[in-house]
Amino acid sequence: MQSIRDLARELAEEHFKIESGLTMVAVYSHDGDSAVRLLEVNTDTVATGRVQPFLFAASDEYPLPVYIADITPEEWASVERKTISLPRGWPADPLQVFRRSDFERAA
Amino acid sequence: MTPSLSLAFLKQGRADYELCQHLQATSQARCHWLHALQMACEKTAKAYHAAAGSTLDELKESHLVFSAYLDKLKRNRAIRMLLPQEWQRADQYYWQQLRPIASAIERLVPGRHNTGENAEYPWEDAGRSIHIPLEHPFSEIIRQLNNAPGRNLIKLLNQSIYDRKWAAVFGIALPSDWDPAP
Repeated sequence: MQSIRDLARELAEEHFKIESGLTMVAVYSHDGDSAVRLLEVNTDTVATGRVQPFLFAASDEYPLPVYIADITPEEWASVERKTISLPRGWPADPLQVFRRSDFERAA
Repeated sequence: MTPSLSLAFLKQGRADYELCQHLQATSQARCHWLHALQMACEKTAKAYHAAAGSTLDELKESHLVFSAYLDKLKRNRAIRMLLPQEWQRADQYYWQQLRPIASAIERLVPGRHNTGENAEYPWEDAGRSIHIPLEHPFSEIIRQLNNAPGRNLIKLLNQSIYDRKWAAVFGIALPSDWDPAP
């Protein structure tokens, strides 16, 4: 099976294609984790002051459960300052951070 | 045996949705069925949050959950497979049309973030006139719900409540006696 890093990268690239408002995808999973945890910074989302994810169960289409939450760019700054908490069980810092430019191919 | 929090919210959301349908079918005041629709949307979205581990206290903190739920759907491959063909392209057109309607439904709740038009309590406008939900036409949200994007939103709500495969994508196992949509 692909590593968490590769699976997360695949999903991040897909989400950047789907969501024009995404500016960053932070992956809060380590190698060997049983789920992929994504915090997606989205200029089109509404601020709630919290990180409250949804869970997509593992399926034929994707081999691991995925936790996914949207936050605004301002809320991301609060997450970095630790003034907005991450959900229970999430690591304190992301394993990887993807930006849209990571997937843009040279013309 | 105590139900899971996610199933509890989905059961209550389903009841709210069926109440909405009953109120519409019996020509009750718009404020009543809009209120029931808002509750159905909120509780259904909270059911899916609960499946991800949100606690009851966390779920009580905000009404603003339905838009966030809709925003996630197109990012899941299994959900896209359950949608009609034209939605499976996951392009922006169909999904962007849903957002203003979902937000309008969320704004039917009165509170700190909404001191104006709502489906539950009288409110005062900028000219100090008092408005009563019972007598308010809710023209704009009704227009949005009657158009194609509004009907699509209701289809998604319907699927979120009744579709066993849909619930399974979120890790919710519906009981064997879960009633199908009437």
